[in-house]
Amino acid sequence: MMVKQQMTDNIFSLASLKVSAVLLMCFLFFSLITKASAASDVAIANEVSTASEVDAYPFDNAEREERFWSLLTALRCPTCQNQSLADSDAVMAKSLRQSTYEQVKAGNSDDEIIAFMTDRYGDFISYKPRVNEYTVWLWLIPLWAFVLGLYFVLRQFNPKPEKAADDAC
Amino acid sequence: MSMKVWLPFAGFLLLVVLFASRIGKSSNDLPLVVKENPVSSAQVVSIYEGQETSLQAFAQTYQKPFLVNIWATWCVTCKQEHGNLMHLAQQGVPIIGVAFTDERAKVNAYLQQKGNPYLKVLDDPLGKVAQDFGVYGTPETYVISADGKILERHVGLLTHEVWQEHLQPVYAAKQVGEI
Repeated sequence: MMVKQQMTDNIFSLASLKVSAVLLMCFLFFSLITKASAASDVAIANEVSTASEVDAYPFDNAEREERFWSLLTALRCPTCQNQSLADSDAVMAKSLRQSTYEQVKAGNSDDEIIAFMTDRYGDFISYKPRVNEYTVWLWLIPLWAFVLGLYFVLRQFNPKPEKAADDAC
Repeated sequence: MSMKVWLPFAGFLLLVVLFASRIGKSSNDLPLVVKENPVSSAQVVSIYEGQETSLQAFAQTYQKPFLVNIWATWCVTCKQEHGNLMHLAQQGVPIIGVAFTDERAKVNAYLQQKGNPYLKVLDDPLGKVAQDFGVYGTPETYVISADGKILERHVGLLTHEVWQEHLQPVYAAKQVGEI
């Protein structure tokens, strides 16, 4: 009976290991795919740019053009808040696109342009907000929630053994 | 043992409080980031004066609190609040209109037809002034202090209730020389 108990315990701990491994993989995978790479962003923006059927943003410099489109996908439309500046047809989005275009052409850095936007609209306008004492919670709270969840999952599969039974062999 | 029983309830109550606190509030509302900042220095044309100026230049000469109304002839809600703006203007409240990404001819025609509540109408076709305010939806009305600082904002239709409860207290406070 003790052996059977031990075997069951082993199976449960194996299961909990598998569960945690799966959860960890999901977490890592998710954080990787949400970190959109710049190259794919530019490709998507150039293909689908619904807002640019009338607007033209000519550049002499290919590097600046790439930076421009990359910035547009990194900035949120303040009116249609679930769209980026690249996608949104809102009037304010058009105005901000034009402003971004002028600033990139003038040689402003990405940081300067994002600072221009956040000075007026707050951290909310950037899809990748600066890490400061307020925004750090965007990362800490999910991480903490995950750890807490993991703890409860493991507790579920690894109940504390009965204190009485502790065989010598 | 009782801890295990009460914990889920406590957690649930916490969630109830959290969710209840958000009832009636729109998650689309953005905070006024430029509060206490000086008004826009973007150069724009004052339509009826035919010369370039900026809100900052106006504030420096006016030296009294005033309202800024961001509007457009293509904006339906702006047309709805026009009557209220006329009413405020008749009461002597100074309002500067910023024609946001609009056409001068249309602005002229509209104000001639419906009346002009504005001290000045600034032409902002590229939205430069609007950007400096952090405008995200027209109409928007701002209260500016006597020294040209942005104090308060209302996004959306300006009704009498909004004026009396939200904006007028801020505007009036600045009238009495409050710092």
